[in-house]
Amino acid sequence: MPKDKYDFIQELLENKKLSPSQRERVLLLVKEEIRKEGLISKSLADRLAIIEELVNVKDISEENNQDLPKYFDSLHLYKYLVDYNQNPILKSTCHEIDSNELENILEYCETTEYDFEKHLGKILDAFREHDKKPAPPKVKALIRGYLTGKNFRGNPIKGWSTDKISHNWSSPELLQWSLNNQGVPPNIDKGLMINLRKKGYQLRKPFITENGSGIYSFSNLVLYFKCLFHIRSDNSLKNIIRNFNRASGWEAQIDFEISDSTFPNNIEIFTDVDKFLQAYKVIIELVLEKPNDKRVKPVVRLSLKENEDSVEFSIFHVGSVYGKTIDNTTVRLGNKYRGLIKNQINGLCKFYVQADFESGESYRVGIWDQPDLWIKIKPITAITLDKQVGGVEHIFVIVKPNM
Amino acid sequence: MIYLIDDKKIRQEKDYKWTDDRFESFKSLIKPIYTLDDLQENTTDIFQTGNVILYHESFLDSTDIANEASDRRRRLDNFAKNTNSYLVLFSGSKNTRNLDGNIANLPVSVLYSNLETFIQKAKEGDINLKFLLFGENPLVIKELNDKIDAALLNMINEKACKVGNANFFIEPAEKNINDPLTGCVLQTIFSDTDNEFTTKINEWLNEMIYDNIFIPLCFGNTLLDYNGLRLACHIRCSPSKNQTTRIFIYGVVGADYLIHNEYFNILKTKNTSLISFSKKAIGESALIPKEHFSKEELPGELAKLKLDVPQNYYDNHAIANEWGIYQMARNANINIKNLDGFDIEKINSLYFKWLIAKNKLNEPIPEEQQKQQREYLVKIEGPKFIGKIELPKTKR
Repeated sequence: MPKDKYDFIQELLENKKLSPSQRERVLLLVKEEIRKEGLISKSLADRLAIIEELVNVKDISEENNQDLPKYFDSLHLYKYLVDYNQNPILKSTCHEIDSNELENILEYCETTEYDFEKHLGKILDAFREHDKKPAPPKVKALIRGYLTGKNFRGNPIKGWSTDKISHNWSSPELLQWSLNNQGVPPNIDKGLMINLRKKGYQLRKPFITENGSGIYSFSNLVLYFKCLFHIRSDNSLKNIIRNFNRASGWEAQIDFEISDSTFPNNIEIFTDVDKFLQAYKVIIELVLEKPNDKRVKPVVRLSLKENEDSVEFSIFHVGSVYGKTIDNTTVRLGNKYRGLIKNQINGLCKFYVQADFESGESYRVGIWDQPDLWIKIKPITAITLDKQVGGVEHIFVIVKPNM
Repeated sequence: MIYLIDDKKIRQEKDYKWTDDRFESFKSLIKPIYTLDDLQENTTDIFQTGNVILYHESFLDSTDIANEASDRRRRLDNFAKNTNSYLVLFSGSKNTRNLDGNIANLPVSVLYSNLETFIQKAKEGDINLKFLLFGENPLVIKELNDKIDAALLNMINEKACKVGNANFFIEPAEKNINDPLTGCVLQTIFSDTDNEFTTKINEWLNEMIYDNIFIPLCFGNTLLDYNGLRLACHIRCSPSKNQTTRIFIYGVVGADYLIHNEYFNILKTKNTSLISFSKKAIGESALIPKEHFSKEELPGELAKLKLDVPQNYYDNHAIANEWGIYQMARNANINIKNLDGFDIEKINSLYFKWLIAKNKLNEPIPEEQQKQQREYLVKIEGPKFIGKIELPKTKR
């Protein structure tokens, strides 16, 4: 093959305007050209394979995914929240304080009567220590806001959580209340309250949270805070999702299939519930964006499954067809997914798509489930499924420590 | 058998009055478990079909197997689901009560408040977790709770009414109306015992005369007792500066729910009304022109009440004995509190207060009678309480 032909091929492959599929096509033509000229040798074939791989990597890293975040293992989030919940001092900020807990507090505060300022000091010390553990910045900001009313720079914030709640453990109003109510924990349990004949801190301005709960007292607030990171049977994901669907007005637009057998109430998860709902919202918006017969509502089947070391939440758009080829899916990350990964998924959970592709084959593709994905490597976890999926399934996998 | 697995013994005893003695009285029905060793020792007995397991959700958190806590809870859950058993998960971080088949979740305060009712029902062979969630009458209590929650949500952004008169507002310890009435004197009632009512009336209602007193209809151990009616009776029967002050009882149900309540007739007396559980109703009521109600009219109004003899008296003779002692002491101008051996708490019971008030025994003895008493007093030795004749229990 004349040298100018090589130059031409090189220029062509380096052209950034070529799409991945066009680039693959060029490589196939090059192979064919070489074979025709009878010049192919093992070494040349090997070199060509290397060029091919390099070209693909170049495509992923240069064209597509420059602004993706560094992969953050979602296991950190789970551990961070479990440890917060079980921390001997911090647990008093996500439970009501009863006589037993009061004794613990008196012991570590080294006092004989409850002293809010001392308790708060211990809480903030414990949080500073706890906060050295890795976790996504958003969840750290949530807890920091709840405990201190400040951001990581130490500047006051208007509010924490999506509800923008201004009440927090370091509020001047709470401190003032504590000075007038010596010996009374602000988040007092009902039994201790009757025992002491003292009420806990009542909010001057009660409010309704996004999920419709009325928050009247500091005890209400503390229990609400816990609901923002601890999913369990009395704060089940099923109920959270149902309420969210209702509040978002989606029940009129989508037929949600939620069955007790495939979506149990009793699965316990520690996660950032706000972020989780935001991620869910992005997927539901994808469902609503799909062109469909306006007379028939799309059907979305939701399910939750617990494995040894993970929990899988599936959002299955029944009967839908995935809009991209498998090649395209594993090479190019769309804007929606990129935004989802950047803003919600990274550090929250692993993310998979399971679908029937146009080729007629069905795959499970890890969109965000390992370090360096899309930057240095393609989703190599794409696996062919034995049977048809029957639609498009987005799966959030929450990783748990293996007990 | 009911197994109560809770490591927080201090909370159990101090906050919820479930002492060793109290558990002992139900020992054939309930067994408390406090430690991991206890739990492991009793595992075989606990995991038997038909048992009820009441499990503190954080039980394992402070043990060596804290990292298995979640897994263990799941296994408990599966046990309850796969066998004909009951599981109740309770915690200080739960604020709702829910029931899913034979598995319940509830706040710790609800568990201990309703535990005795649940045990009593279990003793009668009626194992129903709803008794644990809501108490004696689950349907009505759930309805009351839901109505209160809805009413509170409805008025969350409502401003308090401004009224110019003197109002005394009593709120319950929980589920109270925030900022109910501008400028009112606000106090919280924490207990529903007769003694508590007497103490609080003496403490709160003897300083100044109010135009209105507002009382919650539902508070105390169970909302279904409609304790506001009883508290209103106490106010009417207790001598204070506000004995005849107008009373408004605010609640989420109408008189039709209350008609079988022992204290219902207080609503038939002058200056006592039932109003809605809302800031608007409270504000408007405070401004309604008052009807004259004098102390002289009080005995006649109180006669409308039909109170039963308290259950701790075994028959009418017993109450007559106490009543006789009280009257003798009064007529002899002897302060009943100075009589050795007389249980002064009986005077604080509503029944006694009612007898005293409707028979005008709160009023001072006429001067003529006092004069005669003084003359006789020097001639006779003062009466002494030397004891009571108690019938054997078998004859009661």
